Amino acid sequence: MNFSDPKFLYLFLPIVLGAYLILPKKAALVVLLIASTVFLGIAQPYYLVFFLSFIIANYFLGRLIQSCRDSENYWSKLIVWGAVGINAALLLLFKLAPQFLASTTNPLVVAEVIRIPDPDPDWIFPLAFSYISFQVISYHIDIFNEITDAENNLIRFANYILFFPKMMVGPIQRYADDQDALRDPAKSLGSASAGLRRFIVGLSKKVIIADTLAVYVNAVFSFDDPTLNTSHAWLMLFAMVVQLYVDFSGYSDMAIGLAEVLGFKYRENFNYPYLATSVAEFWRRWHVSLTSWFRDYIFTPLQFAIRKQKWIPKFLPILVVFFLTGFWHGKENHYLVWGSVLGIAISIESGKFGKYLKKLPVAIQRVWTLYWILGSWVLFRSPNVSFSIGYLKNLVGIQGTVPLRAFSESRPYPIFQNSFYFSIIVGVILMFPVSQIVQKHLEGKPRLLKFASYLRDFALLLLLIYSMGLIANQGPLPGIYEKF
Amino acid sequence: MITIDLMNPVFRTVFDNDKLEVTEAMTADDVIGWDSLSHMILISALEEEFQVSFTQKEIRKLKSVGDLLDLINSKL
Repeated sequence: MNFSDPKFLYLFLPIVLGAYLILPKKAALVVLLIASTVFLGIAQPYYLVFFLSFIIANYFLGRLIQSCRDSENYWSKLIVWGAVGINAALLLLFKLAPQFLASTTNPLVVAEVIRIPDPDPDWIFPLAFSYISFQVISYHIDIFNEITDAENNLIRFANYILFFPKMMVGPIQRYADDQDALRDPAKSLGSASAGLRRFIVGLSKKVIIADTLAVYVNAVFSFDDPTLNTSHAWLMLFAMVVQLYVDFSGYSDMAIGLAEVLGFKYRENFNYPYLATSVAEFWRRWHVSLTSWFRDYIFTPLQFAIRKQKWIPKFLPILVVFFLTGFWHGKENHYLVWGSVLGIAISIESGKFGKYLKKLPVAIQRVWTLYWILGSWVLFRSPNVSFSIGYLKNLVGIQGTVPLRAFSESRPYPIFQNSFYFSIIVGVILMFPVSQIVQKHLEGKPRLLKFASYLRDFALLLLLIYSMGLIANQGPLPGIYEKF
Repeated sequence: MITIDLMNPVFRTVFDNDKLEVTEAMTADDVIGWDSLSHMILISALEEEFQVSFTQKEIRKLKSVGDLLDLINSKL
């Protein structure tokens, strides 16, 4: 059940919001926990016991880390490393399990202990576990580093782990950012309406723009060979890049909006990444909750550990972090190559070349950034590495020995409708801070501002109705980031 | 006991900016190029310059240049 699923929009959300807003504050966390458990239970009822034990175990591990962190002895370090290690190992296990179960030579399958001929990764991987495990790891490390104290209420802790707004695509919340809201959710009509507006913006981005493009992009990026003519390859590259941004940032808008309705203030997960003038800056603006997690819990400790070893190149932690970022998205080679390519680009920027680049005109810096980012997205979105190499060859018009082919009956391809071009144009506009610019122009003009806010709410209402119509018509499409 | 003036040359070298004047209230957002990599280069440069050694716990808590100055002074 994702956020654009009619079951979520027409049944789950109204019931939860109604109960949450009507019931007294004391009952709020219980309502939220029941809602999140139902949300999880509908998707994967067989994992409810796993999540219950996962929450209880990590709750007590957090308390244990707090009780021994002051001594800073061998044991306290062992406990925090153990807690981090167990959670990381669980994530690794679930990421690798489908491959293991599919392998006919693995001892459990050979001995017929388990018999899963064609394991479905969506079935095996616990919902949101990539996000949940990273949250828990940050929780334990932050307790050890005295950034925060361990939670002393199991219901609050369970809500921190299983909060349904962030279950589909994050953001990866730090406990320190959530702890005040967990104690006293800032329920108010103001935040509820602001959150709902944000949710509608996200829903419209996802359903009207991203899902329109998805029909075309999914078709092209699931062909068994990537041969397109050059102009189509460029057009589909733009469509894919726009879809990826609008889909994921739309989902983040929905998550942040829902959290706000429920009295939780989340940090932004996107900060207009396409304004970046370097690859490193792009990644500080894209999926901020993930990149800042990698910065704080992998990059900085690694860089700190090697700081006195002059023979180890300074860019090594960058390569490690981006390789792991690739792996976090999937164990498939194209994700690993994607992460490594980004690591190489940022390593180049971290040296003398980066300083030289900063002195060049901004236009050149942007070309450099887009060159790496667009190229790397091809790797990210392709089904495998050879497909992406073929696709990149299409972009520069060297398809090798494969003849240039148009779409045919055996390669069905929807004719570009006007909505396709419209979605690309609107999607590109959404990549830039247009609303902030408009808001700035309206500052100091109260009558105009009031008129604009009415206009905005009217437009949002129309967008909501249109999105609901589209959902009724085509059904919900899964978000790209749901599978991670 | 060191002062902010003694830290300034280290900042200027790390951020490659001869005109940089650091203040205690300054944070990473105020200095161009102060990212996670240059932060760690700055930390090692300060450790070397003032012959001190930091722990990760201490570094995670830093919020401003003033915090950094206090941390160094607490170790001298």
